Amino acid sequence: MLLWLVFDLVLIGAIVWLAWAALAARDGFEMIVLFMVLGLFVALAWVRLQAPDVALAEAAVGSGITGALLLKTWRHRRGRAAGDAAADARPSRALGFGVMGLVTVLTGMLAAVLVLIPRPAPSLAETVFANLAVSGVDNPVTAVLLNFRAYDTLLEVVVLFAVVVVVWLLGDAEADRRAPRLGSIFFGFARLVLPVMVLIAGYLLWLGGFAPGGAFQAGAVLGAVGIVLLLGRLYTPTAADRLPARLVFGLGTVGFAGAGLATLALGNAFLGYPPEAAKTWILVIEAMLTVSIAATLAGLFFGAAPSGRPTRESDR
Amino acid sequence: MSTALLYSFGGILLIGVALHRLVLTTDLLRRVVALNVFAAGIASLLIAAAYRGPEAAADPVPHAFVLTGIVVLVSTTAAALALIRRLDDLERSVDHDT
Amino acid sequence: MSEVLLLLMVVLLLTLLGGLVRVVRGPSEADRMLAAQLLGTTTVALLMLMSVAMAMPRLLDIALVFAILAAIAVVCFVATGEVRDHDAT
Repeated sequence: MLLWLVFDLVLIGAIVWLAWAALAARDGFEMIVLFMVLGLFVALAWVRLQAPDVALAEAAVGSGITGALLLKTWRHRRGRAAGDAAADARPSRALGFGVMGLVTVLTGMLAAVLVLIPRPAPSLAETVFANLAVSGVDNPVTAVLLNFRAYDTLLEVVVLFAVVVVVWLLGDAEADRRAPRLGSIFFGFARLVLPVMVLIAGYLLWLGGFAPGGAFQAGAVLGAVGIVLLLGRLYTPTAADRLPARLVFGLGTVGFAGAGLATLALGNAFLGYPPEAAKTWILVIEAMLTVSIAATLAGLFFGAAPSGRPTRESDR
Repeated sequence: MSTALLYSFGGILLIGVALHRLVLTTDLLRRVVALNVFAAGIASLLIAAAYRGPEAAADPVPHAFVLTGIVVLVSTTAAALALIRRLDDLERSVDHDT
Repeated sequence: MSEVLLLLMVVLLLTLLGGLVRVVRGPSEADRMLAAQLLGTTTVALLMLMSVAMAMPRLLDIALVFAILAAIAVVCFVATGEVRDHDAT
């Protein structure tokens, strides 16, 4: 037990220090790398707290996709000192102390609340476990996400869809042309690793029914495949790819909402699956979500509506 | 002191550090990173609240919230970063014109 | 047995902190990125130990995802890098 305490204290100390070091780093690149390392440590802490589903998502997103997005943006602003402390206006001493005081009061209040709330806190866990048998899946987190609170997940997919629309409106596909071509080491890597990643994505999707995994984690891994394809120029989207891409982006929202309407047509509540076939419903919805989330994440990384450079026919 | 409380305090410290930097920094990229750290702190609080000791299964409802939160966070981050890149392009073209 | 595992976990955690020195001090971007990759590998090892120590075999899946996604950051680092003179066409 003492060793666990040592482990916990070192881990928590490292997390807090990393957060401070990342946000105080002089150099923008150092900040991004420290942030990615923070993702590793945070995932370890969540594993320690018996939250493997969340740690899995953090593993796929925090250190993978968010890191890639930050790096891309930092490179984009290269030469303009993005993220560097030099780009930072020094706050006045009074402002610094004022903010420090306010933050101290706020965190102190949060800590006081944590110490004072009655334990164990009220929880829906018993209700979830009692109804797990009729949910169609054995993993309680998947049951909450895709069955008990499926409405939340539907809206989450809508958020993803809205964001990809915004990013494609803002982006300029011509901006990142000056990247180097990758050599044979990369192609060897891609040939070996990308098929394995696709396999793992499928595995995670299937796993979500009874163990940590599920549509979002699978979608993040599959999205990472798309990001590698884009980075290595193994796939260069053209204007002709816009329509299919948009259809796949919309597949998650439309498919999920369509499933909800279908349940209404069957005489159930919105997204109330027939209990005897709940597993099939959930698996079909999750499969659609996986493909849609993967395409959306890759589309977010690409960061613009593809402009069809190779042919130029699109510039009517 | 219980494990959950220990990790909760870690989460609170994350929130404090992130909030401090979020308010004081003027660099946009650093603000986005601070926002992500802030979210990690809140997620840690929720997950610590869900913890029921090493033997019992943890409360799945906060876990589902955090999972949803991670998706929304990566979306928000992507949108904010797209805005930063756009702003940068605009500044660049202004520099070019003058 | 579990005491030994726990001790190893603490040791690995401390080596993670050791690796952080390279991330912080650099000096080059490649140094920081490779140090982060090293930390990723250590995290995979730590997760595998935790899966035995906590009797949660599914943690191996998380280790798998970490291992497979660690490469994304490096590919992104290389692929968006500067175009050097010798490979500019």
